[in-house]
Amino acid sequence: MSTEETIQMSTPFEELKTRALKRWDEFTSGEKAWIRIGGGTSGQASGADSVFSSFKSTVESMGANANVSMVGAMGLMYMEPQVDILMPDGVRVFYGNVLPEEAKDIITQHVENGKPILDRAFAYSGGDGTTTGSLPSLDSLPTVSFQERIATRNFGETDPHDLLQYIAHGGYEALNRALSEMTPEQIVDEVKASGLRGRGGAAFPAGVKWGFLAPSTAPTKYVLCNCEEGDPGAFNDKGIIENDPHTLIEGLIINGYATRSTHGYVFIRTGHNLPIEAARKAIQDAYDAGLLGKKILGSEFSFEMEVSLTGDSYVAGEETALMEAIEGKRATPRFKPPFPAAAGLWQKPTNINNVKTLAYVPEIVRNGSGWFKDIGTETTSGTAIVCLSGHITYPGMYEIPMGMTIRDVLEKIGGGVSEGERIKVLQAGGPLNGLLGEDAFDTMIDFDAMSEAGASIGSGGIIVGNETTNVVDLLRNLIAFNQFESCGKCFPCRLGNTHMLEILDRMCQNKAKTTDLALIERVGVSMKAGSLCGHGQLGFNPIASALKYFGDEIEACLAGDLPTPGVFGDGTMILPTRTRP
Amino acid sequence: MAWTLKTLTKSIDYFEVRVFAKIRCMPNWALLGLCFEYLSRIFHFLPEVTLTTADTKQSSALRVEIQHILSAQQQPTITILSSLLAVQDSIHYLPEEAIKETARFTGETTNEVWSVASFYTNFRFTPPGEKTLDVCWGPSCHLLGAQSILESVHSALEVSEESESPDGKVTLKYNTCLGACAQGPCIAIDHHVLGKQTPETATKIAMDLRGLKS
Repeated sequence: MSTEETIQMSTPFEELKTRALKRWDEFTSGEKAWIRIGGGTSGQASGADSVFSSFKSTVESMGANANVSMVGAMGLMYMEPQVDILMPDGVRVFYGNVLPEEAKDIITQHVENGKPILDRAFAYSGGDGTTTGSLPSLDSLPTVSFQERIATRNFGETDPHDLLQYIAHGGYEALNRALSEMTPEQIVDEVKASGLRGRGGAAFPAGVKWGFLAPSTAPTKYVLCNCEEGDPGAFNDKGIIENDPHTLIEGLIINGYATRSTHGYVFIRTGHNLPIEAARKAIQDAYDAGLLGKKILGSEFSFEMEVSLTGDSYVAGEETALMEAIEGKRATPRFKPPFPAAAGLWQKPTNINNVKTLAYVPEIVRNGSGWFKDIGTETTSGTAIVCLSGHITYPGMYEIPMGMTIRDVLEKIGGGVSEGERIKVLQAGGPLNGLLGEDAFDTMIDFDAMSEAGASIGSGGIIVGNETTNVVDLLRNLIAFNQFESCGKCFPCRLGNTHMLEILDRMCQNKAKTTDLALIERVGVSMKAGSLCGHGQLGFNPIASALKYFGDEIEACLAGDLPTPGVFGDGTMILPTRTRP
Repeated sequence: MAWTLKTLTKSIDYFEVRVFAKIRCMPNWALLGLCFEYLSRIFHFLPEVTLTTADTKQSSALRVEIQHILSAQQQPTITILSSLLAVQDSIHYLPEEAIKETARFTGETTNEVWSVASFYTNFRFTPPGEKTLDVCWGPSCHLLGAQSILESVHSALEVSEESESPDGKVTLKYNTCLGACAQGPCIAIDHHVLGKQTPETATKIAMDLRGLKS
């Protein structure tokens, strides 16, 4: 025994892996049931906290043979609060919309007596289906079967606050492989070959971006991860951090190694407590396990990482404004050039990547670029993480291969709108991107096809409006958001958004004139020409696309006959009055 | 002199580089004074100079508290923004003293600190109510009826805009996105998000926060 040890010294990663598998065994070895409750912000909003504490206290008071964990949310948000029970026989049964009062019933019947409550459950997985009656298997649900889970692979499986569970699921294998077998150049080439494009909205090839930073010999270089995500309707960046933070941390460390950087920052907006806590804990755990800090996993590579918080400002998500915010200043965009790869954060060479982009990196390094390239379309490889909300039957967060049509996502996964109604309008990709009408529903979800249709995958949020939606009212809401969030640096954006909001307000109150259309278009042209960043340049997008798909409705509104209903009250909107000085 | 400064600046960090850059264009007597003040900041051998004459007891207690908050920051990168966030996290608003102490702590002017504090919309400059109620007005919640929720919360809290209820118990804030769009319309009590609201449930929550019966 002792000779074996001296001959074959195990590497730091192998030690970690052994510990991790032992930990995983504690939950799945078949001695105890494992009750998992989906958490995250969405889970919290549906009341998962009280369900969790109810299950925990019931298990303790009954002395039931079970572990209870709060895990990442699976993304099936229409089923939240969601509870699933893995029994020692390997069969896992999922319960949806669980109330705290049901804990006792479910635990007595399912855990104690071994009989799942079939009319309360919605799916099962594992086993041959003999004990679960007519229950459908999880993989046969349309909300699951159309998914291809890469970045969200651990959602609902592991506890986001437990590093060892992540490692047991193959985590940090990619980092170990990168550090021990690959040179930084090889990783950059691998990411280039995978065709991974930035998921923050601009869709720039990630490998090429990394390639700009890698050759620089500066002693201090930064890689930043952007999780500002102020877009209403999008919750996938925060979702990844709160449900599986180590995927991101691993991706960012690999990004740091590939570009020979020294420091990493995870940039999150204040107030979103769950993602912030998850990121802080994950970074601390990674330090404790030797995955961050000096000489990571026994290699020569050292890397520091921290969480940087910003105040409430949407523009802080723009790459140069983000650097201003990390430096502690007003989050306003900088002039380019110099580009971040030459002089970014504190004038040092810098790379900025979105959370989703980085979350793919570990799996690309682990499985090779060819595997990733095969998923998705010719021009956009990989998957899109779409967030469905609004008037949709099954709202949630779904990771689908690129190339699915919007209609398939809405109808097959989202379940359409309620019976007898039809979807009228979509708001896709955040408030700087367009509204889409029914004519565009056959567009493929793919960066190029979407931008041709006048929208963008952008942040991944898709807000669905049914027939009762008033397009002008929705437009006013989007422009009000853009006006409120304009940082004020470039006057065409600051004044232009205000001006457009005034016109839309008039339209909603039936006081608009036909000349307003020309006026609003002129404002849009100035904003596009005279703004430094996307907030001003794209600010006219919602109106331009609405004119394309809902021209009749807008013209009718300008002509003075407003297609109400859909506007609340007397047509005035309750809005914040505060502006940025 | 210039040569010593140059070698010095090479070895010290960004913030000090900026201080020394300012020094170079000063006359000698001012330079001496500044060096003295700078050293005093490092070694704390001068008593604290307070610029305001009407420094009440309460204000100086607040100052001490804020100094503690500022120096207790854990993360490696400390900036104006991180300092202001730390103060707002602990005492829930930024009093005048916070601006001055942050300026002193980070070595920037009060002007620069104000520019940051006035930019981010989460900062507030008067004490909030005991609880903060955020109501989302983003497009996703808007489609699901956020405006009617805002209206019912207005009447439950007896306010007509973002402000404190008359009894000082609840602060109403409008939020652009609380991050749980799939559960919309959303509201949040002290950042704890509650989904699937209706005007009735929101009214009840607002009334409960005020300790009133709906």
